[in-house]
Amino acid sequence: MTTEALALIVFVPLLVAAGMVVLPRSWLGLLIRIGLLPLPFLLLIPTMEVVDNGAYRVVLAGHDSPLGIVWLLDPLSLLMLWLNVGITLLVSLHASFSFPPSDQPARRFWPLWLILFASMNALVLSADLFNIYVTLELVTLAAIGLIAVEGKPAALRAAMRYLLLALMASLLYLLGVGLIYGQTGVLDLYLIAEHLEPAWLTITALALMIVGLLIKSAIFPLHAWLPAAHGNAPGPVSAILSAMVVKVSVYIIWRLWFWTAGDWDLDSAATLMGILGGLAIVYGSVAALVQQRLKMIIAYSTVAQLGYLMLLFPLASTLAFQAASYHLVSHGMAKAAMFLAAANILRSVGSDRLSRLAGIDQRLPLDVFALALAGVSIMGLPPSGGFLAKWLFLEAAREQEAWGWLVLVAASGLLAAAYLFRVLAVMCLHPRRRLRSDRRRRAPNLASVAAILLAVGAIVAGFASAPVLDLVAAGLPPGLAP
Amino acid sequence: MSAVAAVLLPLTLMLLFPAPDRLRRLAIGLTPWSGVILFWPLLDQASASFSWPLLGITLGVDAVNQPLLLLTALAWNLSAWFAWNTIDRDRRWFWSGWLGALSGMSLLLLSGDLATFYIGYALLSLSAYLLITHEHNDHAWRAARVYLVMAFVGEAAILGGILLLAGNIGNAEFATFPDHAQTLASSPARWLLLAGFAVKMGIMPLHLWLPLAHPVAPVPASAVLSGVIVKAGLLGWLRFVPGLDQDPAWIGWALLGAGLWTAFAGVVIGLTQQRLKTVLAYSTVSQMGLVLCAFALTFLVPDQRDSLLGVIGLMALHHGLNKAALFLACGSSLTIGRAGRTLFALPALSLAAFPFTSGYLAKNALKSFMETTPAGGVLVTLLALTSTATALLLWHAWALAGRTRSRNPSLQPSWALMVLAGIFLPWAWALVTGLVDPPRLYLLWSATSPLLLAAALAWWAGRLGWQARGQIPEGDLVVLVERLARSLPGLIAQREIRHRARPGLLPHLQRIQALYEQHQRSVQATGLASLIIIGLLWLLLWV
Amino acid sequence: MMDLLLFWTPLLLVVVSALTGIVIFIAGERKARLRIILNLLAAVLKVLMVVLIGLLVLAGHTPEFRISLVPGLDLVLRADALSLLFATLSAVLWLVTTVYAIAYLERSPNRARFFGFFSLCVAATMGISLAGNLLTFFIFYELLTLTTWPLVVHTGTATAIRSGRTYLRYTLSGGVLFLIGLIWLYGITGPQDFIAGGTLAEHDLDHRLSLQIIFVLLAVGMGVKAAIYPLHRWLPEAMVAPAPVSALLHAVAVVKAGAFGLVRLVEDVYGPELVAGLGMDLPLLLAAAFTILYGSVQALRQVDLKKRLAFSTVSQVSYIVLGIAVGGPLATIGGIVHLVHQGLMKIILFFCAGIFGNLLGIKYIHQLDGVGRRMPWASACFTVGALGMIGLPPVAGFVSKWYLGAGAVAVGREWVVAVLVTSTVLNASYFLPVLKRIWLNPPPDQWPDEVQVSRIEIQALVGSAMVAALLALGVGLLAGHPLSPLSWATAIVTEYFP
Repeated sequence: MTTEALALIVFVPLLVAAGMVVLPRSWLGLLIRIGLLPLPFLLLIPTMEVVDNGAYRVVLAGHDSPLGIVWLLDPLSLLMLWLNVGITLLVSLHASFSFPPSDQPARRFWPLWLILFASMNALVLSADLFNIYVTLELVTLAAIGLIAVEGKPAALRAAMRYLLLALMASLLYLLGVGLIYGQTGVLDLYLIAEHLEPAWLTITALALMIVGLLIKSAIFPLHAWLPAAHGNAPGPVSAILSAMVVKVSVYIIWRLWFWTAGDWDLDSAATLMGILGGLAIVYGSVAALVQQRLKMIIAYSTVAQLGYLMLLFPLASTLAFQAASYHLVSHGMAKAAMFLAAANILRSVGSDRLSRLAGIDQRLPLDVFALALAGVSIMGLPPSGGFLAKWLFLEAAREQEAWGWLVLVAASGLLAAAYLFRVLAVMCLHPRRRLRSDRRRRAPNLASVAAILLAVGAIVAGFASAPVLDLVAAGLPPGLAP
Repeated sequence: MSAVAAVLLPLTLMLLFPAPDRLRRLAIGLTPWSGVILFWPLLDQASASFSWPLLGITLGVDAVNQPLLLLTALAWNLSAWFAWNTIDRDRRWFWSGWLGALSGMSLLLLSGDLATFYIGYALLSLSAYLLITHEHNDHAWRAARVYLVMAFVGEAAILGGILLLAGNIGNAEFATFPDHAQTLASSPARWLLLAGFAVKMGIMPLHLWLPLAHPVAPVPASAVLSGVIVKAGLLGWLRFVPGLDQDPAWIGWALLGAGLWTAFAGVVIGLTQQRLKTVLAYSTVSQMGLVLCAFALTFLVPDQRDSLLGVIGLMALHHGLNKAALFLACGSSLTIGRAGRTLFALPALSLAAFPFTSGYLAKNALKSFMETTPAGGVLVTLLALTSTATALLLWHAWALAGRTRSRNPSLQPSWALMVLAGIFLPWAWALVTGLVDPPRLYLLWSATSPLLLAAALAWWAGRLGWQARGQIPEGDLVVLVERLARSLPGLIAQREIRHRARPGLLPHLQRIQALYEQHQRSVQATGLASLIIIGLLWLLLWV
Repeated sequence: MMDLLLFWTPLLLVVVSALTGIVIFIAGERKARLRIILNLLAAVLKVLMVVLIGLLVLAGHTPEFRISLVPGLDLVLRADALSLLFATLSAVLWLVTTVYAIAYLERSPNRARFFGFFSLCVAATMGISLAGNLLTFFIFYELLTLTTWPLVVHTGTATAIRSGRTYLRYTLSGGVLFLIGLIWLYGITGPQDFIAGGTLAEHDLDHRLSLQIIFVLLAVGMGVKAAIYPLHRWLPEAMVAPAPVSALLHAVAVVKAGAFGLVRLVEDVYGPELVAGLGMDLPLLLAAAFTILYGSVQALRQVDLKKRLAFSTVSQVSYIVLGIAVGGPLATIGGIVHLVHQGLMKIILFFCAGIFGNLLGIKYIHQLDGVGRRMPWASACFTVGALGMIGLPPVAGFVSKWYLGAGAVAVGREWVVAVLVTSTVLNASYFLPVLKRIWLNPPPDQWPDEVQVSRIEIQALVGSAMVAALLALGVGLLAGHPLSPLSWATAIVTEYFP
C-alpha cells in the first residue's frame, strides 16, 4: 500500500507531464489538477505508515541496489515530501494565474513544473548515490528550463550560467560517486557506512560530492548562479527554486554527512562548513542590503538564509537538527510567499526596481502584507516559524556552549531586518508616495491569496511546531539519536 | 468639617471662575470674604483626619497654629477688601492667585502631618507667583523669576528634608514627633528643613527674592506676602524642627547669631533704599531675624519651650498685622491728611516697640527669656539695639512716604481696620495667653532709650545732611548671583538638534559588492572556489 | 464554564485588539465610519474585559492561557495583580487615545494603516502585560517593536524614516541581547513562569557569574525600550510620529513595556533579594539615577516642545527603574505606581502638544506665548500634566516621588533623595517657563499655522486630554483610596516583601 502510494506520488506527476505534451491544449487545466491535487491525500498513507512503524524501505521493480531503485521513507524524508507537496501546491495556485492554461507559455511551463515536482519527490526518497545523481540532474534541468521558460534575455543568460555551474557540480558529484563505488561496490546511502573506512580516497570522494552539492545549493562562495537565476525567473519558479530546489541539495549533504559518514570524526570539517554558512549569512545579507531590485534582494536573502542550514554541521545535535529542519520549513514558506508577492508586484508595476515601488502598498495591499509577514519570519522575530527555528538554533548553540554560533545566529536577524525594512520603508513610506497613473494589469486576487497563505503559514509555524519537531526527533541519524 | 471647608472654600471659588455666568458671579462675589471662613475652625477647635486623599490628610488646630490662623484670617480678609477696591485689571489672574495662596496657606496652617503641610506649602508658593507677576512689567518678571528660583531651591531643600524624614518615620503626624526625637535629632533632614523654610522667611543670605518680590506685587498682595505668607516658613520651623532635648546648645547660638545678623543687616541695607515698599520689605527681613532669635531660644532654654511658643505666636501676630497695615499704607496716600499720617505712624511705632504698643509687648516677653540664657546681658542690649535700628529704618520709610504719590489717593476702610487690628489684637492675644507683665519703670526706660537713641541719630544725620551714598541695589546679593548665572557655561544653553544627512555605509557597501559580484560571476571563479573548498575539506576531513 | 472563562479571557483580551487591527486593514481606507465604530467598540470592550478579569482576580482566581510553542516552551498569558495594573492602564489609555486619534487624524491620509497598526500595537502591549513568562514577554516585546515602527514612520517624511531606522536599530539590537540572555537563562533554569520573588535563588551558587551576565543582557535588552541612558537615543527622534502615537508610545506602549519588563525581571524572575545579592542593584540604580538627571538637563536644552517632552520621558521612566533598583517595599511601590502615574501625566502632555501643534501649528516652545487665552482648557490640562511631572501635589507625580524618596531613605540610600530633589528642580525649570508662556505672556497677532476644525473635533481632542488630566488628578488625590493604583501597587509589593 505504502509502496504504491509512494510510487504514485512520483509517477503521477511524471505521467501527467508526459500527457501534457501529447494531449491537446484544452486538456491542460484538467491535467494540472490531476497531477497535483490528489497528492496530499496520497501522502497520507505513507505518513500513517511512518507514524505507526517508523522508517520504511521501498524496493521498486524488484531489484535491490545497486541496479534497482531503492527508496527510504524515514521521518525526515516524509517531512521533505510534505513540504514539497504543500509549497508546490500553493505556488501552483499562483502559477495557474501567472501561467494560465490558455496562454502559450503554459504548454512549456506546466510539464516542466510537474517534472520538477516529481523529481524532487523522488530525490528526497532516494536511498542510493546514483539514483540521487539522476534525480538531482532531473531537478536541475527542469529548473533551468523553467527559468528560461518565458524566454527573456536576462533569464536566458542566468539559466545558461546556472546550467554551466550545475554541470560542473554534477561532474564533481559523479566523480565522488564513482570513487566510492570503486572502493566499496555499494551505492546504498545507508549501507556504504559499513564498508567505508576514512581512507584518503574515500575522503576525496566525500569532499568532491559535498562540494558538488554545495554548488547546487548555492552556498557562499559558490552561490554565483543563484541571484541572477532566482532574480530573473518567473515568479512561481523563483518561489519554488528558493523554497525547495536549493534545499534538497542541502538535504542530500545532510544525508551524506550524518548517515553515510555518520560515525566519522568530522569536527574540523564541520567547522569549515559552519564558517561557510556564517559567511553566507553575512555576505548574503549585506548584498541584499545594497540591491536595487526587489527580486534580487529576495534572492540574496536566500543566499543568506541557506547559511543557517549549514550551521547544523558544527552544532550537530538533536536540537540543531530540529532547528535546521524547522528553518527549512519556515524559510520555505516565507521565501515562497515573498517571491510570489514580488511577482505580483512586478506584474502590476512592470518593474521591481525599488525606486518605482513607492506607494505600492496602496495598490497591492495584500501582497505588501504578505511580504511583510514573510519578512517577520525571515528576520526571525516572534511569533513566526523563523523565530522558533532561531530559538532552537540558539538553544543548540548554548547547549554546547558554542558562543560564537550563538551570537552569530542572534545577531544575524538584525542584518535581515536591515534589508527587509529598507524595502518596506520604500514601499509604504516613501516621501514621493503617490498613486501612480501607470496602472497596468492588476494581479488577480487569488495570486495574492497564495502569497498570503504561505506567509500566514510561516507565521502559524511559530505556534504549531510540535508535529514537525516530533517528526524530526523521530528521524534523527543514528549517531545523534539520544 | 470646618477645617476642610476652610481649605476647600477658596479652592472651590477659584475653580468656579471659568464656570458659567451665574455661578461665576457668585464665586466672585464671595471671593473677598473667603478669608473669614478661617475663623470657623478656630472657633470650634476643629480636627479631622482622612485616609483616602493623597497620602492621608490630618487637619487640626493647636497652640502652635492658632495665632497664625488668627493672623491669616484677619490680615488676608482685610487685604482682600482692599484689593477688591483697588485691583482693576487682570482680575481673574489676581484672584486665582489670591485664592490659591489662601487655600494653600490654610492647608499648611491646619495640617497635622508631613505630606499635608508640604502640599499646602507648594500650593502657596506657586500661587504667590501669580500675585508677584500681577503688574506684568519688567520689574515684576525679574522679581518673579528670582522668586521662583529661590522658592524652588527652598522647596527642594524642604522636599529633601521631608523625604528623609518620611523614609524613617513615614507620613507622621506632628503630634507624634516627640516619640521620634532620636531619629529627628540624628537626621540631616533638620538642616535641609531649616534652610528651606529660611528662604520663605527671608533669613539672610537666603532673603534674595524677598526685597524684590514684595515690592513689585500689588499693594494688598504685598501686605499678605510680607505680613502672612512669610509666616509659613515660621510654622515650618516650629513644626519640623522642634527644639529637642538632645540638641547641643551650639545650634541655638548659631541660629541666634543668624537671627541677629539678619535683624541688623536688613536694616542697614534697607536704609540705603529709595523706594518705600522696598524699605518695608527689608524691614520684614529684619523683623524675621528677630523671630528667628525667638525661635533660637527654644534650643537655648529648653524648659520653657511652651511659653516661648506663645511669644513667637505673639510676635508673628504683631508683625503680621502691623506690616500688612504699613504695606496697605503704600496703596493709599499720606497726603490725605492727618488721618493718613496717623494710620502710617501707628503701626510703624508699634514695630519699633514704642512703649505700650504690641511691639513693646513682644520685645518685653522676648527679653525675659533672653535674660535666662548664659549671655543674657549682651543679648538684651542687642535686642534693644534692634529697636533702634528698626526705628531708624521706619523713620526712613516715613520720610519716603511723604514723597511718595499713590495712584488712587483714597482712604480705604480696610486699611484703617488693619491698623486697629494691629493695635488691639496682639494685646488681646497676650492677655488671653498670659504674656502681659505688669508695667515696670525700668522696662519702660529700656524700651524708650533705644528709640531716643534712634531719634538722636536721625537728628544728627539730618543735621549733617547725611544721605546714603550709592544705593545698594534692591535684593542686594541677587545682582551678583544673576551675573554669575548669566556667565554660566553653555551647559543649559537651549538649542535645536538638527541632523545632517550622512551618506553612511551604504554606498561603500554597494561598491564593494558590485566589484565582488563582477569577479564572482564568471564560471572560472566558482570553479576556483570549489577547488579551494575541496582542498580545505579534504585536509580537514583527513585531520 | 468557569474553567473556560479563566482559560480564554486572557487570550481574548489580546486577540480583540489584534482582530480589530486586521479588520481595519481589510476594510480599507474608505470605510471611515466602520473604522471609527470598530475602534471605539473594541476599546470599550477591552476596558470591560479588563474589568471582568479584574473581578476574577479579586475573587481569587488566576485566569491563565497556556499553549506550547515548542515542547517544553509555553506561551503563557496570565492575569496577576501586576499585569492587571498595566493592562488596566493600557486599556483605559487606549480608549482615551482612540478618541483623540480619531479626531486628530480626521483629514490625514493612510488612516486605515494607522489605526490597524495602532490596534496591533495595543494587542502587543496587552500581551506584554499579561505575559506569564519571559519567553511570552519577549515574543510580545518584539511584536511591539514591529507594530510601532509603522506608527513612528507614519508621516513618511525623510525625518520620519530616519527616526524609524534609529528606532529599529536600537530596539532590534536590544531584542538580540534580550534573546541571548533569555536563551542562556533558560539553559540554566529551564523554562520558568513569573513568580513573585523570583525563581533563581537556588542557582546562585553554581552560576553566579552567568546570572550576572544574563541580568545585564536582559536589563540592557529592556533598557533600550525604557530609554535608559545611553540607550535612549531613539526616543527623542521618534517624536516625529503623530501626537497620538507619541502619547501612546510614551505613556503606555513602548517605553512602559521596557520599564514593565524591568519590573518583571527584578521582581518576578530574579527576585529583589537575588538582584541585591548579585550586586546588580547598584549599577541599575546608578544608571537610572544618571538617566533621570541627564534626561532633565537635556529637556532643559530643547526648544522643540515635543522634544522637551520626550527627554522628560527619558527622565521620568527611569523613576520606575529607580524604584525597583533601590529595593525595599516603599521604593518598589513608588516605582510600580509610577508606571501608572507617569503614563497618565505624559499622555496629557502629548495630547496637549498635539492639540497645539495640530490646531495652531505650534512646534517650538517660544510659540506657546498666550496659548492659555486661546485654548484655556487644553492649557489647563497641560498645566496639570506639567505640575504632575514636577512632582507637585496633588497631581499623581507627587505620590510616586514621595514613595521613591522615602523608600530610598528607608533602605539607607539617602543620596537617591538628592537625585530626586535635583530632578524636581530641573523639571520645574523646564516646565514652569513653559507654563508662564502659556498663561502669562501676551498672545501673538497670528498663530504659526492655524486651521479651522469642526467643533466636535476640538471637543474630542480636548475632551480626551481632560479625561486624562482628571485621571491624573484623581489617582493623585485619591491615592489613599483602596482602589487607587497606589493601594494596588502596595498590594502587589506586599507579595515581594512579605
